[in-house]
Amino acid sequence: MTSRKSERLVNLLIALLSTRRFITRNELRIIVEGYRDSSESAFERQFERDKEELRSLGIIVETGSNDVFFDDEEGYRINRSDFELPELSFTAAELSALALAGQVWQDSVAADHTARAFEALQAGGAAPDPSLLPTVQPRLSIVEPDFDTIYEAVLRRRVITFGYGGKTRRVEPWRLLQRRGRWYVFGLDQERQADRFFKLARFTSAAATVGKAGAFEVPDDADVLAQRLVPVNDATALVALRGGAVESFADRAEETWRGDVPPGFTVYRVALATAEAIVGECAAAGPDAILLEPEELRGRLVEHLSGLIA
Amino acid sequence: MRSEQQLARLLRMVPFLAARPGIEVSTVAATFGVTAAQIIRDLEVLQFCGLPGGYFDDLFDVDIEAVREEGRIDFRNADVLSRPLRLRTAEAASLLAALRLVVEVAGASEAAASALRKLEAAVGADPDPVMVKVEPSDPAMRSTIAAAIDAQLVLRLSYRRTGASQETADVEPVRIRLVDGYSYLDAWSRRRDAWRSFRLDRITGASALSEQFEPRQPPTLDWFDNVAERLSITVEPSAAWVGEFYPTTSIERLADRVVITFPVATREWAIGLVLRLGDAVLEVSDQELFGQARERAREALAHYRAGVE
Repeated sequence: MTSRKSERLVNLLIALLSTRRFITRNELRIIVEGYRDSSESAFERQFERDKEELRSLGIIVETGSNDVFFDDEEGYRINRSDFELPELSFTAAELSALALAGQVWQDSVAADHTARAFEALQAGGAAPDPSLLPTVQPRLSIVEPDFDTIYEAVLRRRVITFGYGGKTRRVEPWRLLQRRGRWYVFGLDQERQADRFFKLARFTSAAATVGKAGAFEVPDDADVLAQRLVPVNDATALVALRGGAVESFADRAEETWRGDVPPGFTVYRVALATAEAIVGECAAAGPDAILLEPEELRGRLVEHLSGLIA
Repeated sequence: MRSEQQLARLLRMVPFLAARPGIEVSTVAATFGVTAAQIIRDLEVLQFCGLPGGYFDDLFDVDIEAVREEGRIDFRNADVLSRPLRLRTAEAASLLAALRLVVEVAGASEAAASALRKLEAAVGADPDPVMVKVEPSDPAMRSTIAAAIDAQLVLRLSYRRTGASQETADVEPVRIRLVDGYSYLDAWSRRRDAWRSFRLDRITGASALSEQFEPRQPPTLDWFDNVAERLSITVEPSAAWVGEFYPTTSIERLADRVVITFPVATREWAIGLVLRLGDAVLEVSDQELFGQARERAREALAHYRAGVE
């Protein structure tokens, strides 16, 4: 097929683009070369598919009637300003920033999409300039094998299924998020009818898309809901710290302590997401941290460190 | 899917070619990421396209025989497609997410921010389906560092290392790099006489000195990845989570243990990691480092034996 079909699609597009009035199906069948030899029913099928192809490229095909007073036959047209990339003019420095953006995605479907976006920019007269030696190198490495599937599913709003925590999940993916180098998908778990985060690295079976594109609406407050991925610090402890170990706990406040601490130490109330995280952070600080309270965590830390030297 | 890609390419290639008479086929192929043969096939499609009517003047004008012979393209009569197809959703989302990250990491670069504003205006700022979060660092400090890189000024840094005290160093800064959600400053450390990476959220102060430095042969773009130092830690299966939290080069799952190999940025970081894993650690590939970690564990335990209360 494809060269004849591409030819027909380009001609259809130009016909719809170069008209102000709505063009009816019958007119299209006459003026677009590729439709002329088709039978009535073959033309109808072809035309429906072709409209869908144009729409899948993000092209808006308007339908309407030329005469509002008469019940005219419905026609079609494409609004030029919906179709064209607007005029863009970038400074030299902006073009090198764009080139830098072109290096962010590594080996993923997102890298392909970015390359396509660059083709559009170049066709529009803006060539990203990679010649400057970069002093910034932002790169996203993607190790999760399911990334591409989920990326496309989020963009096309398709439902996905995957194995997670011993079950098969069916999820409407709203957002794809990266935090501390790890990717999460955030969306509606259809079975539980509740929004959930899923870490891609924990998938136990490959993700697959099911059903059609545009299968669900993303709620308006999805971005706000997605903020919850920021870990909540609901575990606290009383810890004596010295030197750089103080900085290991961003969430801290000085507090007084009934007992003595060795010279050079200051006592803080610290908070982290989990009790395990507090034990881990104190352990990593070695002799520069002393976990004072609660008693139970203190016991766990002693056990944790003793195991290392046993 | 294939024809969809070809169609998108054609709708961008027409204005691209029309604005560049006599452009070489190889340049066009490189720009659109396809072979020269594919470009010729695309032209074969386009030669029968144009305004409805089918008269000679209505169609795009390209002489494919001449293209084959001379390797250059003259594409005319294309006013009807003078602007390219706008960015598709996936293209816009991918590029905008990447550019936002550049803005976030570059900080001081006004150019990245203004390029982003122009692009957002051009594609219509839909809500962003892809969100990348970078560990926050002080924007004022980021601009100090970025300005010093540009002006090649020596920087005096104060920073903290895992579980250690505050340190200072004079460095020759060359680049800010993003790895796994954290920004790093790559710089030549005058104290160590070697290239070093400093995590931005651990730098507590940065001030540019008046001294300009002579640029050195910069480290290769992936020098950090190529650093020979790797550390393998064998842990109990219960501690396999650690492989999801830090960059690793390999994770080997055995029946009763997991061997995880990490690229090592600094020894202090590696010692901290061993301590963090604690009693789940079964083996460490570097005996000396394991010894140092155990020594620190002993010192830490001494606090509790002494009965702090």
